[in-house]
Amino acid sequence: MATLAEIGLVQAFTEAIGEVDSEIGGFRMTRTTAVIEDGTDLAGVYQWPGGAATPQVVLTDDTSDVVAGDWIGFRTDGQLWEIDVLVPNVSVTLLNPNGLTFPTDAGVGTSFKAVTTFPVETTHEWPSAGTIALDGVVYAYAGKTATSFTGVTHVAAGATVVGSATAHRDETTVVDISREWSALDQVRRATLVNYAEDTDLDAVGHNVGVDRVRLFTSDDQYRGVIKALAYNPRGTILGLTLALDALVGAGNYELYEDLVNFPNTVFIILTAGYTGAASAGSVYLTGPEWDDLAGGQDTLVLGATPLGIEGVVLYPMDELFDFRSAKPSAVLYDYYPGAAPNNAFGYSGDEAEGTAVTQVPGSHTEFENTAAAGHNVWYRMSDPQGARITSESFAEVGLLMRIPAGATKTPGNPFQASIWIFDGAFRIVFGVDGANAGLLDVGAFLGDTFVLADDTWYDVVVRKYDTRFVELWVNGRLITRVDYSLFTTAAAGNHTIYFGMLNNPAVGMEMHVKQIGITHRTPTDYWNARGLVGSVAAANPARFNANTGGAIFIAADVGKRVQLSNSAITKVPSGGNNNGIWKIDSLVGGPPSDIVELIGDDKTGADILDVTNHPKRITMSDDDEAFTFPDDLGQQIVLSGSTLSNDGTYTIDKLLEPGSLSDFASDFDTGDQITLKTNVCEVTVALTATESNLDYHLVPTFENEAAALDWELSDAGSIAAATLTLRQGLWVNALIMEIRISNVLTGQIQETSVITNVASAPPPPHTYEVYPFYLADPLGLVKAYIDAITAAGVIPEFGIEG
Amino acid sequence: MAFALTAVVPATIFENGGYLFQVQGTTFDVSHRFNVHVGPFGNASDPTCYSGVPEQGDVIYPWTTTKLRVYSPLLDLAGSPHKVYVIDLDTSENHALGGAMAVAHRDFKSSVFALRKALPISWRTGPRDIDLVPPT
Repeated sequence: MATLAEIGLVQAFTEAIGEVDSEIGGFRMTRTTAVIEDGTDLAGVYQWPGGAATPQVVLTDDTSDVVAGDWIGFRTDGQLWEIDVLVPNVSVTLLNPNGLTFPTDAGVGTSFKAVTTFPVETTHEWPSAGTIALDGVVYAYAGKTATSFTGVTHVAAGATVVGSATAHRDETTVVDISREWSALDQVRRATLVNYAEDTDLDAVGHNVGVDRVRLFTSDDQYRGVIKALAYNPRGTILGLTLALDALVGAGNYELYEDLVNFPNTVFIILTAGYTGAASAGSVYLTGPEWDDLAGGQDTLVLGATPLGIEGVVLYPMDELFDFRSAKPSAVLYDYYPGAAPNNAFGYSGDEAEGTAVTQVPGSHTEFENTAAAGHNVWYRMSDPQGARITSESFAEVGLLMRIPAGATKTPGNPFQASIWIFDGAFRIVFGVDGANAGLLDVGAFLGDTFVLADDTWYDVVVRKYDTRFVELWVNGRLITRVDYSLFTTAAAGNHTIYFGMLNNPAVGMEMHVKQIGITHRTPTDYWNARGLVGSVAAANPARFNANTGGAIFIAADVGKRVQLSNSAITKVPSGGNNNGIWKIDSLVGGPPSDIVELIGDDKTGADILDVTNHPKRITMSDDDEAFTFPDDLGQQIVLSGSTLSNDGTYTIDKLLEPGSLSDFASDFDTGDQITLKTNVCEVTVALTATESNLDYHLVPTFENEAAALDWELSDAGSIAAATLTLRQGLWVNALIMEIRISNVLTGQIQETSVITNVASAPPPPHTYEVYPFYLADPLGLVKAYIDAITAAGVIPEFGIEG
Repeated sequence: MAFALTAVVPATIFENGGYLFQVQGTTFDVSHRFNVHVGPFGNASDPTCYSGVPEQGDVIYPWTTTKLRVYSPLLDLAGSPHKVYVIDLDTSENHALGGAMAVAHRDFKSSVFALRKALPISWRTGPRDIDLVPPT
């Protein structure tokens, strides 16, 4: 609520300097009404017994100042345990779910209880649970009374700790940092919107440009949208939250950001509950499914027969594996949505895992070589477990680790504490050598290193950008960037992630880890087939040889597209090259065969606009991107359908910029890695007459290039009922693949409004020539409003769960 | 026709006044003038609420036949929850709703202090920092 004084003050200020500049933000504040101790000393003498019993009975002579539910500890120890059962003036039973070790004190020393209630002047209109800050310390509270926050916790060393972190004086300012509104936001909201109803509310909304539509089923919902749109508070996420709460209801959506990988993007997912209730008819054009590879590393089985496949990719990963409560071999995760949880890592080492790896519950996991020199202690994520990284992948592995003081490090052995990423081509390694740490080749550091201090936690992130470079980040700071090709090559077929102590750590070498985060995504579409050693020759200028040695093309490939790229030749004198996208016209030999004849698509709309002044110029009026510069220079164009003797085969001599009609070759070097699109060309020979709307297609005129062309055949896989078979198998079975499928026939726009629908096959199932379809877009109005309230530069992304 | 009081929304309000709240009831005559008082006594000696309308002062015209919209005066924490007393000035009919309005200690907004600090020092803005606000 806003006061009249604040309204007047802020209104005056807004008029003076403008509304935008007045949006200076702000936080709600109150003050403590008593000193807050960092724990209250207890009157009783507690006989702390040591050990790690779960639960633990502690004898005491005075329980007058504790109750069940309080958290108590011993001053010099600092840990806290919750009282479960209290026997007055005899004992307390403490819960110890994480098996922490109790202190011993033999009756000497002070016990204390955590202060979990902060008394304040008021909590009126504060969130029922939220986040506050006192003297720069951030606390979370789980509840409140009219004059106190209860269930207060804070975070220390990455773990949630009950109670206050330090003492705070009386009248300490308490700041609400739960993403609440600024005073200016509250002023704007102050009057009419909160209380207007029916037509009054319509008038309020109309005045601020938010008209009521049928989507709004109640005044409260409409009111919420008005406040979100017209009085959008600072913070995109809060504004979106308010709008979505009003539009679809709290709990019916998820809202999140990934500022590292997708900056300026907010992800909004409507849950199935919302769409199921609101949609009048839902149409899902594509939906991913997941399956693990089987057969000859090429077979996937879907839940039902698909109509079409949009693509098959290695399922991306973005997981954080927590080792504070479990060893890596005990950590489970869902390999894909809907899968049963499965192991992420397997243990490898020369000692039993039980002796070499110990868990400090709630804190971290420790590796130690306890037995003999050279005993490795490490964990491995295999490719089926999730390390499905290739050279084309973006991959990031982030390990929160430390080397404790007293660990026996071996200078010159940088693999004694290391992270390894194998992508089937190279071996990317991070390691610690004595005091220095960095990225590694065979045994030497690559790029810059950093000094790794003992007993200090480091967030080490190794980030691989496909085949370009690898970065090392430590604690959010870029240490070095190294060319990918400088790393050691690795065996093809090795796609794994290791971390731990490898390569002969000394006895007494230790490494502690808290968590590892693994992110990867691979753009390669395995529904296509591809290769790197295609060849072409001038002797057969439209012929392409994939050189797989295995006869990759089959009879059904006629009509499919092949893209040739990475051509290294420049045709003389045209300046073109062997790149292009072509259609397979026929197989040569076989089937199957490695050799195909290629041709361009049949198109129409070729115009010879002015044969008098520009006798060699052809303009494609129906296709703005008919030609690619410089690739299509030197290719042939075949004209047909002419009644004025223009039919024939012509060689493309120049490609012109569509607007100015200047020759691209005069502005750009054909050897540059720049491609441009145009619809205007000039051929080598003059045409006969001005004429429009001729049919045409391009024909390749390859020049010699042996075993060096990259090629990709689209839609290469095959579908048999619900089973997909990839044309080229991957390197191992059980890889999780994501399949994007389509199960809906695409819509057709009919030329007339009278449709005679003819049955094209007897039932079952009923099949007709024309399929009626219904489009419902439950997201439509939601999207429109969200788009309206997000500022330029913020990109809302929408999806439906499931 | 006799009016009646049923509720006050919201039922808790800050002490420092100027907050909008509704008195809900039945059969308010929309052409009549009303006064609303909030305080411990439940009569016209309690602090008067404001209309929020320029030059209308504390004269309230009903928003609807079931709602009065008023702005709270400065209230005392002691004696909370307070009574809400409504009187029809044109008929002298009056009613009180006991224990209807709880009073909470005010809280603060950092942007208000920021605005105050930005204004000329000669302006009587009130405390320019939360630490200068005397405790109650």
